[in-house]
Amino acid sequence: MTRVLNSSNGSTQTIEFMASNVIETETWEASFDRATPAPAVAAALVHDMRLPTDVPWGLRDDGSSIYLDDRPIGEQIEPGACLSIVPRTHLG
Amino acid sequence: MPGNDEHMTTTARSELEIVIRLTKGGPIVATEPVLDSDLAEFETDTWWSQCLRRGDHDVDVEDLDFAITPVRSSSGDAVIGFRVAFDTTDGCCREQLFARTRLEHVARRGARRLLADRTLAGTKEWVWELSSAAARPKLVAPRRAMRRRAALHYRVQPLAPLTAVARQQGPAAYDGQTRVFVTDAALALAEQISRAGASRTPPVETGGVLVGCLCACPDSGDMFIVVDDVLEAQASEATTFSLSYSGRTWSRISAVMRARVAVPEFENHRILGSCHAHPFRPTTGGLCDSCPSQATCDLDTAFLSEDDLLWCRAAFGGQPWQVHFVFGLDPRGQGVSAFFGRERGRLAARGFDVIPADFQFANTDRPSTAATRGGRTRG
Repeated sequence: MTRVLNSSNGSTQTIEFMASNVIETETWEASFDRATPAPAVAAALVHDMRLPTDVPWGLRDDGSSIYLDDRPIGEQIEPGACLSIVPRTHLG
Repeated sequence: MPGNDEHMTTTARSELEIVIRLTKGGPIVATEPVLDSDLAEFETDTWWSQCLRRGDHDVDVEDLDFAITPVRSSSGDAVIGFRVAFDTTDGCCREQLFARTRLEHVARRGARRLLADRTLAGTKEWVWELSSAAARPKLVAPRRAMRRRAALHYRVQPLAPLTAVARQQGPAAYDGQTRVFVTDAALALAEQISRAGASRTPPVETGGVLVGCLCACPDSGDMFIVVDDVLEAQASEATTFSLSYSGRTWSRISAVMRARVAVPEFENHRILGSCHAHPFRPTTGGLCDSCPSQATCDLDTAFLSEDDLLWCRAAFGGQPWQVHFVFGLDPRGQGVSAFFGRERGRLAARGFDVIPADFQFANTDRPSTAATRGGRTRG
């Protein structure tokens, strides 16, 4: 059983999507205001998923493999999209 | 949380913090809080050792109410570690202790902040201690995402037949250490993929992800790991000293894994870790004078760098069973390798067991009845 906090069911102000960690062992149902910039969405997901905060993170649309940019998330994905939260760091 | 201040609420929790000084006993120049996210991996380590490896395979880590408390020295003067504890449903307390050094990355985060504001400018010397802070109100943003529960898939496999055919590589497993088995084919493929970049001009780092499954022994209830395949990190961005997984790299890995777990025989497969190479020698100035007379050399590049550790923490956070190969070189250019796994709260070099690729496993995949962080929810 899952539920989404802060969801405004039926509202056009929010967008709901799925978000996974990069190795897809965890999947989260997310609901955000469409106007929220994608980096702020990533920061909120990092917080909720208890991922390291000292790593730069990006959101990747699994459908296109493209990383979301700084624009509002509602302008970049469709409702129900599957996103991955990806560490933008490297092995060295 | 950016733009979310209006939703902040407060809660209280016992806390740890890092205290930074420029000299031992000197004035405190900064404190760095130990965040919930810093503690998450220790909670999953405790879940692994105190639940899954004790036969409680159906316990969801999210259902455990962890208490984090400082552990003091016998004199009470210093905090030498911390305890992660939880109560079982039958009222028993289970716990795992971690040394304070396991939080060194938190101290380094504090030091980076001091470097940024120039407090540490002109000096490379600083010392840190773990300290207990009184429980205090903490700003918490309401969640805007909720985890979807999923079953933990693992294979029921007696341990004895594996140990009977296994060939130890590296240090022998100590009593209580998680057993890790790697098929000979997967080991060879990991090295082949990782060292492929060494032949390019200039040499570049290459690597991939280790694939396999968690196994539970029906006799002891203990869990162990089997690595039986490697997926190359294609379309990555590489240099001699770095390897970045691109969006296409992760997409391809995800596509392969989704296709694989859709096959009943491989339903319990998961990404267990990584492999990569350091295609450079530990010394840039050639060999030392004593090299010709030395049979072996302690220097090599088969180690996890600070960047590697950060990447592993980001990509494999909350995966207490994660394992990693690093293939490096010694000063003479000979191949050297090392294997790492979670040991007492950190990634440390360890041994493993090699098994034949044609080993016949018991074909009994079993998802646990409870959801776990290690589950799988996307098909």
